[in-house]
Amino acid sequence: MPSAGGDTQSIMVFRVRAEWYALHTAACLEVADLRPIHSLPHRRDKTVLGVANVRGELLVCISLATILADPSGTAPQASPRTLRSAAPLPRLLVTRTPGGVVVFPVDEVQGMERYGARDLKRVPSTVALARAHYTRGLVALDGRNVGLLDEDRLFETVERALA
Amino acid sequence: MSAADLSQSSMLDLFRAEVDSQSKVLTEGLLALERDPVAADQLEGCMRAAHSLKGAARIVGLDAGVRVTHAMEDCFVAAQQRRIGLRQAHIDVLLRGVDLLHRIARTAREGAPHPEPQDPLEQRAFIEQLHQLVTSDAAATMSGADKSAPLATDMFPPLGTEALPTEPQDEITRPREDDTAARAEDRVLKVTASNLNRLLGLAGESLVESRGFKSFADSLLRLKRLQHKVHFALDRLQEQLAPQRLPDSARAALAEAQSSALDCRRYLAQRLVEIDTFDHRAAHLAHRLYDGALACHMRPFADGMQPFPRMVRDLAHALGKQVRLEFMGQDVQVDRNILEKIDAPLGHLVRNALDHGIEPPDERLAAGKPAEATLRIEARHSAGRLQVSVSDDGRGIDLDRLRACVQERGLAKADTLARLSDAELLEFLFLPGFSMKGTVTEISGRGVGLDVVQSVLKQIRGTVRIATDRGRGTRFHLELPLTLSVARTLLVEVSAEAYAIPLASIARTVKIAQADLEVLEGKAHINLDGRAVGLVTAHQLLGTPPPPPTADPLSVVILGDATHVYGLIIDRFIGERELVVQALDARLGKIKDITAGALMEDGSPVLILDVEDLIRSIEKLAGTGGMQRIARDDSHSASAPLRRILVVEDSFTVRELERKVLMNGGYEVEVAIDGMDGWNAARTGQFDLVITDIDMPRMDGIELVTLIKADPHLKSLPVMIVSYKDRPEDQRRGLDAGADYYLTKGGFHDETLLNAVVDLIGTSRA
Repeated sequence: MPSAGGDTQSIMVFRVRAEWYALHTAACLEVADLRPIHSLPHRRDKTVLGVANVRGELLVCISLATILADPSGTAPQASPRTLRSAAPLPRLLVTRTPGGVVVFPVDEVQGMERYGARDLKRVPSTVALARAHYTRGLVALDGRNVGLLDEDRLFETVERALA
Repeated sequence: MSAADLSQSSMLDLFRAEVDSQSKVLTEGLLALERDPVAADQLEGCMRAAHSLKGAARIVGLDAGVRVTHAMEDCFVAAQQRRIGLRQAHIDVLLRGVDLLHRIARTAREGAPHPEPQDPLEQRAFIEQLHQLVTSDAAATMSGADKSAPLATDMFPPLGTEALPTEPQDEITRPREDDTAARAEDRVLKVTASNLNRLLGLAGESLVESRGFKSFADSLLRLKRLQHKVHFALDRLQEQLAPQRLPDSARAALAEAQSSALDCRRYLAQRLVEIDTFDHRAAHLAHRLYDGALACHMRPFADGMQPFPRMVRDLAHALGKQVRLEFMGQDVQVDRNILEKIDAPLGHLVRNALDHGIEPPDERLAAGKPAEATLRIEARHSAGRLQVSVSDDGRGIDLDRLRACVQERGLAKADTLARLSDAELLEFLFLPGFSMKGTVTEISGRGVGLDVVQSVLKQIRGTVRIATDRGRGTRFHLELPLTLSVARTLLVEVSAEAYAIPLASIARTVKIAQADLEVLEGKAHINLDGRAVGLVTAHQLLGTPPPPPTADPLSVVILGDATHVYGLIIDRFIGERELVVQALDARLGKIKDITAGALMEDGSPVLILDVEDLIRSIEKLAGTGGMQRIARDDSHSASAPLRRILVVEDSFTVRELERKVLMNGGYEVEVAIDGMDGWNAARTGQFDLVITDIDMPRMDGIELVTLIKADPHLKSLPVMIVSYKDRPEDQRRGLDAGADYYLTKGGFHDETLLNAVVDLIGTSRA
C-alpha cells in the first residue's frame, strides 16, 4: 500500500493502552462509538473479544492489546497525554481485512494524519518483539512516535485467531 | 468501497448471472414446447433468450457460448418458420444445450482470452446433432409441400458468423418473454445476501435509534417541571411583594420575569407536542422500514421450483413413464432460507414418487387410470405455518406389506403392529436405513433416504407426514415455519450477558428454592412432576465466568424432549422476545452451543443458544461425572460463609454417609467420585478441606494428595485421608504424601470424623 515515492499516505492514528499506533486509512471503514461487546462461549484465547453491534450488524471484535502484548507483561504506563480532546473516548475501529470486516476496540482515536514514505523510521530494537513484528515502522507525529502497523501481518494473525 | 464492490462483479460474473436467468426461460419454454410444439409465444421467448445469451457471450469473448446459442437460435427460427416441428428429440438436444451453456459459463476463466473450451467435442457433437435434426426435418418438409422455402443450406451459414433475423435492439435487455406490467412489479431481483443483511442491519439500527426520541422527550418533561417551579416561585414572590410599596421599575421587572416564564412554558409545551408527533412518525417509519427489509427475505414459492419441471421430464423419460407436473400456490411467499433448505428434501420426494409411486403407463391403463400420471407440488399458508405437499396418483404404499416388513425386521411385534394406526405405521418409513427392499419388490427401496428428509425438516423446525391410499396415490405433507429469520425466544442472563433460548425447545421454566434441591452423586436434581430432573448451570456449560453467589430461588429453564429432560440454571430471566436472527461471522465457524446472534431492542448483542448442542454437552458432562455442584447457600444464615469441604470417595455409600455427617455438622459439602474428579473439583471449587479415600479408579488418593501439595495455589489446603487401610505403613505413606490427617474407616463414626474436621479447620462457619 505505501509507495516508495515522496507521496504522502493517509493513516488513522489511535491509541491502545499507552501506545500510539496507526493503520492505513484505506484499511479502515469507519470509527464507531464503543458499544457493548458480547463474549463468545468456549473461547480460550483472549484475542477474540466477542461480537458488537455496528450499524445493526454483529461484527467480530479483536483485541489489539492482546496481539501487540508486551511479552514481559508490564502494565500500561501512566496515562498518556492526549493531543486534542480532553477526555479520550474509547472507540470501535472498523477495518476491512481480506477475509471480511473486523473491529478493533481502541482506547482513543486521534484521527487521520498524513506521512511521507521517508518519514518512516525503523523500529528500534528496544521495542518488544511482538510489537516489532506487527510494526512497519515509526512515524513521528507531534513529537510522538506512532507505530505504523503492518496490515498484512496483523490481519493474518486476526484470521488465524478467528478460525 | 463502491469501486471494490464493482470490481468484484466482473463481466464474466454478469454473464454467469445472465446464463442463470436465461436458461430458466429456455428450460421453461422448451418444456412448454414439448407439450405444444407450435406455441408461438414460447418459441418467441426461447428465441429471444438464446439471442440475448449469444450477444452476452460475444461481449465476454466466449466463442463456444456464441456457437452453441447460435445453433439453438437456428433451430428456433426453423421452428418459427414451420420448416420443422419440434419433437422430443429436438427438445432433448436443446435441453442439453442449456446444460452446455451452464458448463461453459462455469468453467470460463477471468481475464485471459478464452482460446478453446474445455469440452470442444461435446459442443461440436451438440451443434452437429442439432444441425442434423433441423436440416433433415426441414428437407423432409420441403420435399413435401413448401417448395418456396429457401434451401436448408442457406439457412445455416458457417458457425460463428452473423446470420440473425432482425430484432429490435432493446429486447436483449428484457430478461423474460412475458414481461407484462404486472409481472415487472413482482419481478424477482438478484440481491446478494450480504447487501440484504446490511440493509436489514441498518433498518434495525434505525429502529433502535428511533427509540431514542422517546427518552429524549421524557427528559424534556423534567425541564417542563423545572420551568413550572420557576413560574410558581415568581407567583409567590409577587404575592409576598404585593402588600409592600415597590418602585414601579421593580414591579415592571417582576411582571416581565413572569411573562417570560410563561412564554417559556408555552414554547416548551409546543415543542413537546412536536417532538411527540415526530417520535411517532419516526418510530412508525422505522418499523415499516424494518418490516420491509425483513420481507425481502421472502420469495415466491415458484422460485424454488425452477429445477423440478426439467427433472421430472428427464426422469419420466428415463423410466418410461408419463408424468404431468402440477404446481399450486406458486405465489406463496416463503423465506428464502427455507426455500433453499427444502430443495433437497423436495427433490428426494419427487424422485421417490416418480421412481416408486407412479406406475408405468400400461399398468395405469390396466388399473383404469389415465396413462399420464399427475404429480402435484402444492404450497400454502395455514395457521401461521407453511404447508407444502408432494402428491402423486400412483399405486400408493401397501400397508400390509409394510407391516410385514417392519415385523420381519423385528422392529415391532405383530400384536403391536396390529394396534398401530396407518399414520403410525407409516412413521417406520422414516427410520434411518429402513427399506422395504427385497421384501416388497414392486416398491423396492421406498423409504430409503426418507430419514434424511425428516432430519432436514427437523433442522428447520418442520415436520413431515405421509398419507397413502392403496391404488390411488401417496401424499407427503411438509409443515414448516414461515420464516427462519425471526425466532421467538426467552431472554436470559448468564454471567452478566444476555442469551436467548428458542421458545420451541423450552418445556417450561421454574423457580426452585435452594432448599428443594436434592443432591445425589454430587449432582443436583429437582423433583418435577414426580420425575428427577438433573440440573446444570449455564455458566459451566458455556465456560463463562461464574456469576456472583447463586440467587435463591434459582431460575431454571427445563429443556429437552420426552426422553431427556434437563434443567438449565441461569442467573436471571429477562423476558420473552422476538428476535431477528443474524448469522455470526462465518470465520468463527460453528460455535459450540450457539446457533446465531441477534440484537435486542436497545441494540446490544445477544447470542441464541443451540439447545441440541446444549443437551449433548449436558449428557457428556453427566456421563463423565464432571457435573459441577450447584453452590447451596444457606440463605437464612448470617453473612459469614460456610466452610466448604470436598469429599472424594468412589464408594457411593461411604460418600453419602460422609456427606450427611458433614452437612449435619453444618459444613457445605461437595463430592467427587474419584481422584481425577476430585483434582478437577479442588482446583475450581474454593475449598477449606479435602477428605479423600485412597483406593479409587483413575487417580488414587495418594496421588491426589501429592498433586494438591505440589500445587502452589492449593498446597495450604488441608487434606484428610479416610481409609480402610489401617496398617502403620499405610498411614505413613499418606502422611508422607502430605496429608494432614489420617482417619481409618475402622474407627469411623460420626463424632470422630466431625471432631477431626473441627480440629483441622474449625467449626462450620468462619
